[in-house]
Amino acid sequence: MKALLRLYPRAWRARYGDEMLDVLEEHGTGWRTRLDLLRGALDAHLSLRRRERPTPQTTGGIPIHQPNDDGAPSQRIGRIEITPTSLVVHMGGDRLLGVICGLSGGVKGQLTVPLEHVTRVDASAPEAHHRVWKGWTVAALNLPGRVTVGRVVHLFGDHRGEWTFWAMHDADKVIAIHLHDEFYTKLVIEVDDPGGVAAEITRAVSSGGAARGLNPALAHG
Amino acid sequence: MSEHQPMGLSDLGRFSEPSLLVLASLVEGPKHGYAIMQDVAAFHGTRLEPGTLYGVLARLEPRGWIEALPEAGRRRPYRLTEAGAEVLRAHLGNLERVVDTARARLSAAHPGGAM
Repeated sequence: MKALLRLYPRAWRARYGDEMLDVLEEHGTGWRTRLDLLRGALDAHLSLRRRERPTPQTTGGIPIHQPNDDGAPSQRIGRIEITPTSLVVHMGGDRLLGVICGLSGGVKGQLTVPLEHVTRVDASAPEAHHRVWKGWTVAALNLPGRVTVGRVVHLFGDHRGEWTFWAMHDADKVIAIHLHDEFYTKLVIEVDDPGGVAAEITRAVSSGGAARGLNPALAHG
Repeated sequence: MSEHQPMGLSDLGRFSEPSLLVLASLVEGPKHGYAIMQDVAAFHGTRLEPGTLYGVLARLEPRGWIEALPEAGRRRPYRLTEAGAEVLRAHLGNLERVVDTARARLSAAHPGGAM
């Protein structure tokens, strides 16, 4: 019976585990109950993910811009939001919605990363200056000198097999967010103030890491 | 549903019906999980499975419709809150309208049938 309950998320088990065990001991675990628990576990995982996902907003956060036609003001194509527990990258510009199909394989146009999965944030990304990427670009819009948005799987070198996400135009104004235990190992995103944004995210991760005793690399960095 | 309307049981998707049964059971007084299952089986004939029951409890509690009471051993009783009673009352009102309408139409279409 305990094995069945292990299918549930840890937070769920901490809250309901003992009670459910008691119920299962009284109720028994026939095939119908096992099937129901499987379904319940799946539902619990999905519910927790939904609960942890911040409500999408169209304003606020750190803006991500895309330059417009000559002389015209740049267009906001997304934003970075720092919540107490996660970093959320929203991409939602009119021109991009059809281009990026699921940043994380999950919700279209939104990537949520728990702060403890952020390994490091750099205020620059030297590789952003490379004219040819060492990888295969998937679901991307890449107009050299104008805008580069998409996901890349690296085919060569030390990072072979790793996925990175790009949203940039000016290679000198990007931050690189390095991740672990995530689909993407790195997010390269253009922001107005790379130094300030990198410091802000690092601060959030450090304080979150200190509070949870996680991410020693940043907490001691 | 309009965002201005208060949330009701119908918004819980596949958990709507089992939620109704759980709330109806708790009207009688606080009960722990297994007692809810037994009560629902007794008054409705439905065998609530534990995965579904706790999926329901995990939805009703954060909405403030039920409240967990202190544990007694491994068992934790739940009680219906005022907000939960109000949601249940509203839902029963909707059901009554459906039942009344269906009965009236059935009587008109099949006047000889027993009701």
